[in-house]
This record gives sequence, structure tokens and C-alpha cells, in this order.
Amino acid sequence: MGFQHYIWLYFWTAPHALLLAVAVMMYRRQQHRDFPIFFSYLLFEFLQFGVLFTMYLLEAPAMAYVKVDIIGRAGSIALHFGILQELFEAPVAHSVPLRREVARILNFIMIALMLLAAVFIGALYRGSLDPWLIRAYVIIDPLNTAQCGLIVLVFLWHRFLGLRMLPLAFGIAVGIGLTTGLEPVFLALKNIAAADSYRAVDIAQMATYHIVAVLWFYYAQVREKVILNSEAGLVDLREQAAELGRIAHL
Amino acid sequence: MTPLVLLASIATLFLVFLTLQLCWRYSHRMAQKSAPQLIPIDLDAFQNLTDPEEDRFLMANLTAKEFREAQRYRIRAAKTYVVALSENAGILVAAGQSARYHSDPAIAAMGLEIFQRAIKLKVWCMFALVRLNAALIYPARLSPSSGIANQYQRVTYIAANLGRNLAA
Repeated sequence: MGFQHYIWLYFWTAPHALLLAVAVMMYRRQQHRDFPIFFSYLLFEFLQFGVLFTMYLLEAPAMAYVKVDIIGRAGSIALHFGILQELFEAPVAHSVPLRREVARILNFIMIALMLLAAVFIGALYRGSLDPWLIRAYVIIDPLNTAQCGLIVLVFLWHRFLGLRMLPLAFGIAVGIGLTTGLEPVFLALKNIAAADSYRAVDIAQMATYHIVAVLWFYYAQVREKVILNSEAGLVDLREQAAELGRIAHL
Repeated sequence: MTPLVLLASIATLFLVFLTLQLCWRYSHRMAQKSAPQLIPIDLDAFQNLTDPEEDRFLMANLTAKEFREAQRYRIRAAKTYVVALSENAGILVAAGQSARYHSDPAIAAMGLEIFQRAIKLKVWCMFALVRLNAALIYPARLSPSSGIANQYQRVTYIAANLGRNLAA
């Protein structure tokens, strides 16, 4: 076992340990109530890592390992979509009708994005790979591409509302963006990489996830600073109140 | 190789977008902008534009072509009002969001209420604009007063309540 193997082991274990730390911090700060799906995702990822790592240590059959890995990946992707929905609905969480309306629109956008991405990825790989690989890419890549599209929409949605994203929400969006945005590239690189450089691509992907875990850890402990100065801010609010009162009575 | 180049280009664009969001978040915090002013809106005039009675009157007294033209003018005018209302809601969202983190619980509670109501107003304005744009394409079938009146009522109701809460 060379140096590269230890690096690989580090990048496999460290981000997941960090995910657990993020979950503990969220729980202590009661943030798991604001982002329950993201909190579940952290626990799910840690659990999945625990199972896979144990299987790796016990040298379980490759087929069983692959099956657990695929189930885990499917669960992660499903939770990613749930987290994105959570980020969309966060600004309107106080109003049930609005939340329903936003969820309805979001589902429509999600399906449209996935279909578009499937057509695009299918066309991209047509003729360059064997049929079963095309099927695999046509499933995984559109899901990632759709997630990237949704993340762009999350930022635009907050911009449209004139809303400053909460630190953790911002961190979650950037983190998921980094993971899903780079995954199609890593997948394609793995496909063309030679056997000896495959591990290097794998490490690069794990390192990206490590950066994401550090990012989530940072944003989980950052508090939103008070932007409103007590004096000037209140004067502004009163002026705006008077102005809006005038508008409302017109 | 071509798929890899294309995917890498898309990923790069996406990463640039994420980096811009990071830059915008921190540069925006540094910039101390003066409080933006609300745009004055004549809600009575807006109500007149979306009044079903007015709609029926125009339909009865104008030819089909004239009615469509008149409706398009009315819809464009209504859109201007909704855009202004949406801008005002955006200003109030920012004000409410700032106030909700205030150390004084009373101000924080008021901030939260302003924030929630202003967000509602902003979202309803968005829906109203979608409907108005659809009405612009089919002015005879989708009159602004048919579907928008209800939303308009909600928007004005929330705006009036917001004003009262802020002024209190």
C-alpha cells in the first residue's frame, strides 16, 4: 500500500467525519428544524459511508459492494432534490398556499430540466460509447445537470425576492453545486482514464467533496450579522412605513 | 473526447456562476448603500384598470378590434403598476430581513412580520405579471380583470396590512 492509498483513505474518511460534525453543530444550533432534509442527508451520507467502509474492511464481494453503492447514490440524488426544494421553499415556508404554489412550479421546472438534460446528454454521448454506458450516463448526468439548473434557479429566486440567503442555505447551495457540477466531468474523466490514473481522478473527486464538507462546516457555525444599524435602520423603516401607508391609502 | 470538452465547458461556466455568487455575497455586504425609496403607486388607478365592470363596459361599447387594442393598453398600464409594487415589496423584504436580526425582540418580531408579508406580496406580484403577460397575448379571452382581480385584491390587502403594521 503506497502513499497514494493513504491519501485516498484520508479523502474517503475525513469528509464523512466532517459531515457528522456538521450534523452535530446543526442539531446544537437547532438548524435541523430549518433544514430537515439536509440534516437527514448528512446522516444518510455518514451511514452509507459506515456501511461501505465496513464492507471494504471486511473485503465483501465486489457485487454486493457495488449494489450498496448504487442504492446509496440513488438515495443521495433523491435527497439532493429534496434539499433543493427545501432551499426554494425556505423564503415562503411561513405560508402554506404559497409553499404549495412554489412546489408545483418547481416540480414542473424539475421535470422540464431533466428532460432537456436527458436529450442533451443522450445526443452528446451518442455514437461515442457502448449502449449500456449511454444508458448509465443518460440517467446520472441529466440528474446532475438538472440539479445544477435548479441551483442556478435557487440563487436567481433569492435575487428576485431581494432576499439575502441565510449563511447555511448559501453554503448548502454552493456545496451541492460544486459536487453535482463537477460530477459529470469526473465521470467522463474516469471513463477515458487509464487504469493507473483512475485512482488520481477518484482522489480529485473525493478532495472536492472534502472542500464541500469544510464549506458546510464553516457555514453551519457562521451567524447572520445584524445589518440594520439601530438608529439609521429604524429611521429608514419608519420612513418606509409612512410612505407605504400613504400608498396603501391612495 | 468531445463530450468531455463540452461537459468541462458547462462545468466551468457553472463554477464561474458559483464564484460570482460568492463574490456578490461578500461585496454586497461591504457596500453601504443608502436605503432605496419606495415608488409611489396610485392603487385606485390600478383598481380601475382591473375592474370587471370597466371591462364589461368597454366590451359592450367597442368593436372587437378596438376592445383588443384598449385591453392591451390597459394591461400594459397594469403591468407597470405591478412591477412598481413588486419593486416596493423587494425593498420591504430587505428591510424586514435586516430588522428580524435586531437585538430588540419587538423590532425583530416586527421585522419578521414585514418580511413574511412582503415576500407574499412579491410572489403574488410575480404570479400577477405572468397572468398579465398571458393576457397581453390573448386580450379578448384573458381579460386582466377575470383572473387577476382576485390576486390584485390579495396584493392590495397585504400591502395595506403591511403599511398598517409598519406604521404602528
